[in-house]
Amino acid sequence: MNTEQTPRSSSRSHVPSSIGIHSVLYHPEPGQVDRFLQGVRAAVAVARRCWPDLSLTLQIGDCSSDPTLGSDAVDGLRKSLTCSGLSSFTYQPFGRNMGSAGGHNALLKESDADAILIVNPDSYMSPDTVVELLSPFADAEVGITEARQLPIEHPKQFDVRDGTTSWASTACALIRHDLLREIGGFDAETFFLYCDDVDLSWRARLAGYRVVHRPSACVFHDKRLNGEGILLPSSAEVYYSAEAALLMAWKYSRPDLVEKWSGELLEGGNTEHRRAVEEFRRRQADLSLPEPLDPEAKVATFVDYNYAQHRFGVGG
Amino acid sequence: MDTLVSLAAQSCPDFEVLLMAHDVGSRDVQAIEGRVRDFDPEFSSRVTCRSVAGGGRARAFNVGSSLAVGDYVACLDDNVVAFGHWVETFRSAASHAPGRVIRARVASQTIDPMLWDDHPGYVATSGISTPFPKSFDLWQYLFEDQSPKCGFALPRTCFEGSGPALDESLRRGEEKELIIRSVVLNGIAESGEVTSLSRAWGAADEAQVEEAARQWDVTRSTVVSRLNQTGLQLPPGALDAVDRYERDLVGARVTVTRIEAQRDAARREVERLEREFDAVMRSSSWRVTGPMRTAGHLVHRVRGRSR
Repeated sequence: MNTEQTPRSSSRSHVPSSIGIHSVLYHPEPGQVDRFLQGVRAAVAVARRCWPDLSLTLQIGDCSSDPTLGSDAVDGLRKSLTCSGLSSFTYQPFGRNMGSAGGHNALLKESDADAILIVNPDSYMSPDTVVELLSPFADAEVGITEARQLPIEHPKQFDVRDGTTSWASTACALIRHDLLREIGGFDAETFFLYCDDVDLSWRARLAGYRVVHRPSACVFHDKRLNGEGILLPSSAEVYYSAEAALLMAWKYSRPDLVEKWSGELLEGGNTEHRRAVEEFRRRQADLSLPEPLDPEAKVATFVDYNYAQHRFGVGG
Repeated sequence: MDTLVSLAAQSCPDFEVLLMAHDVGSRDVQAIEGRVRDFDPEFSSRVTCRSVAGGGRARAFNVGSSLAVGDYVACLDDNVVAFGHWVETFRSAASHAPGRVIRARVASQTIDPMLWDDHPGYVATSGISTPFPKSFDLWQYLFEDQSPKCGFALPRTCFEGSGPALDESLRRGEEKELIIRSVVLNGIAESGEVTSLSRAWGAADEAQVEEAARQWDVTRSTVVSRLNQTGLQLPPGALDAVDRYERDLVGARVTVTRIEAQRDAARREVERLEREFDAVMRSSSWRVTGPMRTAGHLVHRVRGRSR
């Protein structure tokens, strides 16, 4: 991994004293929100026990077409969650699908916490997750810490000494709010569903921050396998991940990869792949693609269709 | 801890957890109980922690199953993490086939040790595979299949006999006899879903591999011997399987016999040709023409050099 970005000053104040926990719903499965909140409650309680002065808030945005939580449920949750140590709980139905990046940007506008813990609602945090994610922030260079995912561990490479890695998955990641302000949050204009976290990580690294994988912080991310042991994506996931790959290659100054991948997706791909190429080309014709970054490839890492060197293939 | 987190995250909460702290000091038991209390009460209130000493993994399972009150009993060793529908899958299959043993599929992944700060952790080093049989075959399970026990849920009635359910002298596959007897008695329903992930240390040396093979062999001999002594009523379908194995065995023997006959014929032909060759070499005409062949070779060598 390239680590040539400018290091940050180590003299700034670094350990966050307040954390905003953010999650964006989109038509959750029955029971999913309850399980997610059980994990949050426990993680908050353990964090408050370790750092009694730490302030934690919870903001849930909802991209579902109709609100998932009714006003009675929200009132009940507000009471129970604040009893368990959260300073506040807010629920914000957006009434439309803004994508994960758009949803999180909307929540960020309402937050003044020092750090933001972004968590997928189909996940369950281990009770010590917040504590473990927060510890590395004593180092001013650390901008993002990412939890290890269960049951399917992400295969991307990381430095076993200090956890430094190419990018952090926002399935569960703690991010300095200053950093988010500095780089303008997620690029919701470009990324709807995938790679918004890769892009955020790479821009953080260009700004001089370090991205850290923290294996001692664990989060259960509810992924399931088919009978062959393979993680099968939905057609929407296939489409958006292909589209995001082309957008990443464009945004990180790799027109050669845009051309190569477009050809591969058109020739060997399925309907979703071809649709993704068509959409990319439409945006290119409309001049609505982002300004390319990192022309010297200081942070961008493209290995096959991945954004880091992987330790193993997902399929075995 | 990973195993507990995966249980706390189950989509179906209709289960209790009997956490057996096996061969763990009292201070560590307290630490484990503290970690359990860290979970949300919705989960931690369903967890009972007990300290168990000696007897291999089987003893922990025996103690745990004796405390169970649910309709079914399933077991996760601490090297296993459940997928989010581990319980849901067992429960759903049991509702369609009440009283049967339920089987789900198990995936596998290798891990290596690594330090997480200053305490022991691990890192996954391979992708996920599904090396265990897709479906249950009684005979394959008895002799070869090393599927982990996390893929089975047994009706609690299977544990109600006299004496411990699992053989505490065995170090591997200690659940095999219980599962075989339970399947014979109750039948089996399979879900086909991959619901758990068994993680194995990847850096086993040759001695460890040999020891594991020896332990599996002990298990096989022990289970076969015990089933021989007590007898085993065959479940529906078992004779078909025996018939299939018998036909496969006869077919394999015919193939081996045919290949051996071909091999013997080839050997005889080689021997015949060797005898013919020797006879030619020893013949008087071959010896008489010897000088002419030598002269011919010399001419060829001289011509060769001149080129």
